[in-house]
Amino acid sequence: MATDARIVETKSAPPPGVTSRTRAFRRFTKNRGALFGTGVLACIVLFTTLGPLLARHAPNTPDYDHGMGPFGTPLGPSAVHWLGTDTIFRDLFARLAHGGRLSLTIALSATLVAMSIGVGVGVVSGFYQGTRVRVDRLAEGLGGAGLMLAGIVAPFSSTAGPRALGFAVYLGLFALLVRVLAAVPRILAYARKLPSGFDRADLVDAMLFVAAVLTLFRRAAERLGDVRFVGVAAAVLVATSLARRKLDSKSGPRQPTLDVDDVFMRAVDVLLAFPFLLLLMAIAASVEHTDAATLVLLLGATSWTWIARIVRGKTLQVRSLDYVTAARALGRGTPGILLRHVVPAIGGLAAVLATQLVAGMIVAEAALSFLGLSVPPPTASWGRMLEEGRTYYAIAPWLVATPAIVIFLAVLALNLVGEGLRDVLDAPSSTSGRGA
Amino acid sequence: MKRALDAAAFLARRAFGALVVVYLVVTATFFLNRSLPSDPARMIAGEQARPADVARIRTQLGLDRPVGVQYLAFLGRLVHFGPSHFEREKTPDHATCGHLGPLHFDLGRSYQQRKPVLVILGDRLPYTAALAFSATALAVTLGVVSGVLAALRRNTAVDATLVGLALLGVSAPTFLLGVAIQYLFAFQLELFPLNGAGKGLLDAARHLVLPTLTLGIFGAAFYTRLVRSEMIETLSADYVRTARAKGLSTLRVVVVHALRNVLVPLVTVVGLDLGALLGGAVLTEQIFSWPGVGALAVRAMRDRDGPVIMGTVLVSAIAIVALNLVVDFVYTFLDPRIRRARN
Repeated sequence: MATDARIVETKSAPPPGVTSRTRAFRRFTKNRGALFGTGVLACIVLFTTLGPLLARHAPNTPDYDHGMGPFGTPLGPSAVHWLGTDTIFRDLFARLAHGGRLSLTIALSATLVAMSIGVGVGVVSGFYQGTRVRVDRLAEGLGGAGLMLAGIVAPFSSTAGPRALGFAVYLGLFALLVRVLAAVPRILAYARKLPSGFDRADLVDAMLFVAAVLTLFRRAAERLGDVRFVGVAAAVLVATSLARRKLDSKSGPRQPTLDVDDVFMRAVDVLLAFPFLLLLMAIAASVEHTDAATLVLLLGATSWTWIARIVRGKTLQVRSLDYVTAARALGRGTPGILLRHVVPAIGGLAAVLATQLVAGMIVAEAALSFLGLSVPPPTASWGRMLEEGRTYYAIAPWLVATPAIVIFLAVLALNLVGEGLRDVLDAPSSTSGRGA
Repeated sequence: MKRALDAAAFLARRAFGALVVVYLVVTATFFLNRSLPSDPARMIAGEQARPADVARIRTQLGLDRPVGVQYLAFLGRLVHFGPSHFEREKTPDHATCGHLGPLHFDLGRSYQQRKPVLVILGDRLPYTAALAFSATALAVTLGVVSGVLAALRRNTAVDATLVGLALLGVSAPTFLLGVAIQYLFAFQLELFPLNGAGKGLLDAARHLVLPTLTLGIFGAAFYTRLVRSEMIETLSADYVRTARAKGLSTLRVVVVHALRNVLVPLVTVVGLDLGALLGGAVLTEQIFSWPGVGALAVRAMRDRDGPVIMGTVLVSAIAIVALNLVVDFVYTFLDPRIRRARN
């Protein structure tokens, strides 16, 4: 059966001189499912961009004159309210359009966040597999990254920012702890009068750690989110790192090291053992007021793990290809190889994953709304409309049906486009069948 | 003998890794919990309580201690040794413990329900397990049958219909499907109860039908796609052609030869899904008010009930990690190549 497909393929092969890009485009346009998906997607995007302009009502204002039924019930579709009104007589069309704008914006931004982290981690993990780093350096990096991330998050989100800062403090403390533990072999060697390389650097570590535990940890609970407090933790970490670099000696017992790839993939394992929805709920509950920016960060920060896994696999494959070895032999440096060879090779895969991820994000946002953890009322999002309409399906089934149909269509369209892209970009295997 | 030893060593290694993962998840959840902005003492005492009362409750719960001390105390209580036989009411030290012989487990007491978390979880787990197993059984049965059928009738109307249905199923998240199923079967047709779990075993089974259908159809859509693509690949393999050439019937070729190969990827996915479901199907349980761990988690999050949140996360993490382990082990029985590669 696979051979049949191959014969068909060679028959319909385009004339020489046609670039692979146009060939891919032609294959994509031949896939009816993907075309349908693209059409639906275009309609949805058009609706969310133009809909709010077309709507003749504000999304959050009740209309008691034309939107209320005889018994105070919501009204079905009419000339005044194209899709009818909801339980407090707001125009459904306007809410659907405005809500769609919000839902899609959140989904796209969160996808961007998740893809950045996922592709970044995946590429580094795959490309540097086999490279070992010292545990203490790693902990420093982790603590530093946490503090940096908190610094980025803080200005964007008024509620997630302080929380992230609080977590960064814990990370910083963890880094200090690992640093000191890593110094233990030297201290032991020193005690047994062996050549230890034990020097002032280890004393710096030990003293700083004791000081940190005594002062910082005790106050951590009350001080979570205090910017000055994070500043102190960051300063401590940076200062000790610098002091350490300067004082570090080459002799003494070998420091414990870990494989970069192992570190990242075990971290992914742990994150994957977190039940996704529970994790989302826990964090959403912990920030109390979820604004759109918080949601984006939340969704992005929790859903990159499987992206990283897949990208890592592909990167491992690419790394061992002949042309990468050749580029290295010709003297191209690591950044050059990453940019010129690895990134283009995983580009197609990333596009496919991103399409699937957008669909997943729309669903996740809706699920959070459904549990009452998304943007607060009266703001409309597709998920919130679904949740609000659900309890009234006996008297006004269109309230729940409209957002449900839109969410379903959006996810279906993204799935179709994703499959079309996969067939075209990511070298179709014999398992991919006929797409849709 | 050596093979058995190897297998045991492999299992022990993986089990240790699994324990580490669970420990890390518990630790992360603990600190996540401690950074919740709301004050549990205030929530128990009520909005109008005097500051002195709030402070007293905080001391009772041990929330006035440094976080590090609280963490160590929590870990110490989570698993500890105690008497093998005891009565909850008479031993205040072990009032909230569950135990396996002298090994005690303790998750504390719910802030809201004032019952031991382990007792609450014990009440909820059977419901979640029933839903998880029935939904998985339905999904696998439907998925394998339609996947195999689509693969055998490749590029026909049957295939197109099944693939189209599977795509629709994959695109309908459980909360859409669940609400639709509830509206159609419970509200319009009144075939099954709207929600809840009823009283007695038979009634519970009736209440279980719609949640099972919701999760089962959603899972079946995924499995159909997986089984179809794996089956198509397997059917073009040399050994299947050999089996056909020997004159075996299609049924025998598919069931005895091809399906066995499809099982390996299927078991992985089904195992992981089952693990996730055993941790509580949050959305489906919520829609149908099914009294499982997932609905409990939603409630605990809303009430900021720290000990119960810890309990539900722990259950989910253990379920996921344990099923991972099971999948790893089942592999070696299904595929001798993996067994050989490991030894």
